[in-house]
Amino acid sequence: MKTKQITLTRFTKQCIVMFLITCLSTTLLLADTVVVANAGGSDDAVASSDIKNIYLGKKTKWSDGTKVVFVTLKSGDAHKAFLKQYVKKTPAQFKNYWGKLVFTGKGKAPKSFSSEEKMLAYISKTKGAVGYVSSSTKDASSDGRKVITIK
Amino acid sequence: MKNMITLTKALAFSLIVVVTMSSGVANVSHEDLVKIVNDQAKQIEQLKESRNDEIVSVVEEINEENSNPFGNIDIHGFISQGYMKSWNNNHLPNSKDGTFELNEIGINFSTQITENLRAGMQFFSRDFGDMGNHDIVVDWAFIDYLYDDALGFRVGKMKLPYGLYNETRDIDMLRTSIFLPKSIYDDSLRDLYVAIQGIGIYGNIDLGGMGDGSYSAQWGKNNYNTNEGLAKNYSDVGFLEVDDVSLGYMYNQQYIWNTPLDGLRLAATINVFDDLAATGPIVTDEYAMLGFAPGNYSEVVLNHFTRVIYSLEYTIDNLVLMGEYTKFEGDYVMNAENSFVPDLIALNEGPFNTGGWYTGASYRFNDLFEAGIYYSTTYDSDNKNNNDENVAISGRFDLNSNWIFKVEYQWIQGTRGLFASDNPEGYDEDEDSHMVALKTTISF
Repeated sequence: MKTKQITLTRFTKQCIVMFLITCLSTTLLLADTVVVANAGGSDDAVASSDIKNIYLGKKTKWSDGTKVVFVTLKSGDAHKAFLKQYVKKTPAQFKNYWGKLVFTGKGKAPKSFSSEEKMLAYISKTKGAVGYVSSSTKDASSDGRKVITIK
Repeated sequence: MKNMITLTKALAFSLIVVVTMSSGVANVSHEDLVKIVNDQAKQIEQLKESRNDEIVSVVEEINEENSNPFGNIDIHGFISQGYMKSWNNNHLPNSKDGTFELNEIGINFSTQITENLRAGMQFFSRDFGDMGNHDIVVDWAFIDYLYDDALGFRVGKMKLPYGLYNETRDIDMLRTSIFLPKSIYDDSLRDLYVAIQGIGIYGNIDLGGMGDGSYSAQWGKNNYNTNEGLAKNYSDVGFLEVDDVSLGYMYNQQYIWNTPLDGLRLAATINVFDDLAATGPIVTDEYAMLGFAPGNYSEVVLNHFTRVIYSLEYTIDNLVLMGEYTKFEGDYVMNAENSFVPDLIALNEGPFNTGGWYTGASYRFNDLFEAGIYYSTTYDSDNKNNNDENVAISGRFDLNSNWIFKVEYQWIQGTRGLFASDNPEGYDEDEDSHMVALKTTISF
């Protein structure tokens, strides 16, 4: 049986390589994140579904009754990665979800920060606060904060 | 910090030991060693204080970043302006000529009174052809007490959780399309379903490995303006001019199951109305000879009707698939005052039932652009061949986080949801309708 040999032009090969690089870069850009909480009041370990429910406003208290104060980043790779990994939403879908709650009177949008440094400083000073940073961020678990273990 | 101090003391001590041992002379007194270590500890304390100052400074920046000049009151709002052009039939008054009578404005205020108690209200104004006409209404206003995650209470005027998208049907920036599918979210009957005044309960229940479930139920009634679709629908028959619409009672329940399959949620809504009455004087002299003279009292009463909606939404990254099905049934009676007899005469009565469904999808290509498409059909339940259909194709552009622009094309077969008063020359039922709409919204 004759087989047809497919010859790829140089341009086509370049396109394929660029496509693969883009896919790989996208994967690499979605950095791992760690969940960081105020050392007082919050649980040391929670289930992944609890993080999701916290960020969807469905879980409002830690196990000791302390009010959960969850915060977000305004944008960035850590924000996208966290929402994808735990909340199962894109940033646009997350914004729409909270937009629905705000414009029907059922909820208050979470505080959002333009940098991980500002988020970490807020978590340090706020009992019950929880947020997220890139896993490569230093000092996530210092200054009155702890990294929560995800069960 | 304590660990740092301990470690630094240990390092300092080790360094001292190494230096003295390497010099071969252990000629340092105990007091000198203590002084060196304490000096190190003081330096660490100073570092700690300056770090605290740094944190305070950052927190002050944060407070300024998230500051609310109105204290504990959150304020949000939106302004939408649209344009519609239709062909073959008017979908809004004069839409065949093009119309800008398509806008919404809303502003809401809310506050957390205590950890469990919240209150808020939203003012809303819209213009939808000759409906709304920029009248400012209280869109919602209620107090919300959250006992725990599984049980909360609301009292006041609330948006009605009817299908997946009814509560936000007036909030343009929360969806892809300009118009929601007619089969479930008929704009001509918007005011019937938009809100309820009364009491409600709600909650979310963790189902463990089976996902989680949300429930809500409301009891109450609502007030209806005569410049909205409900009154216009009854007046459109041409027999009476509605000057009042009243409702005896309504209750609504919704159950949502967020399944263990990430992104898949299923919902069921049950909505029941009792004694929905539209009243007004007879405006036609067609039946005057029979005693039903112009000016006589007339009413159309929907005694009891029930609507169920089953919903599905599946989100896979940037792709959202959705579909909803509805069945609507009840009975009605049309009464009128007769000049020859003292009692109201029933002119018409009987059951009615309709159904419909739609399916659609949306996909976000990037931060700027999202596209959507849906197919919707509405029919008489006992004659599904008597159906209307429509297809909508939409594009949404997020120009920034507060400003969006949309463009939409619709193909419509049938005239359900259209008004005879908007089409005084009659409907063009031989030709399908087409409609193009543009809309922009700013929100904060």
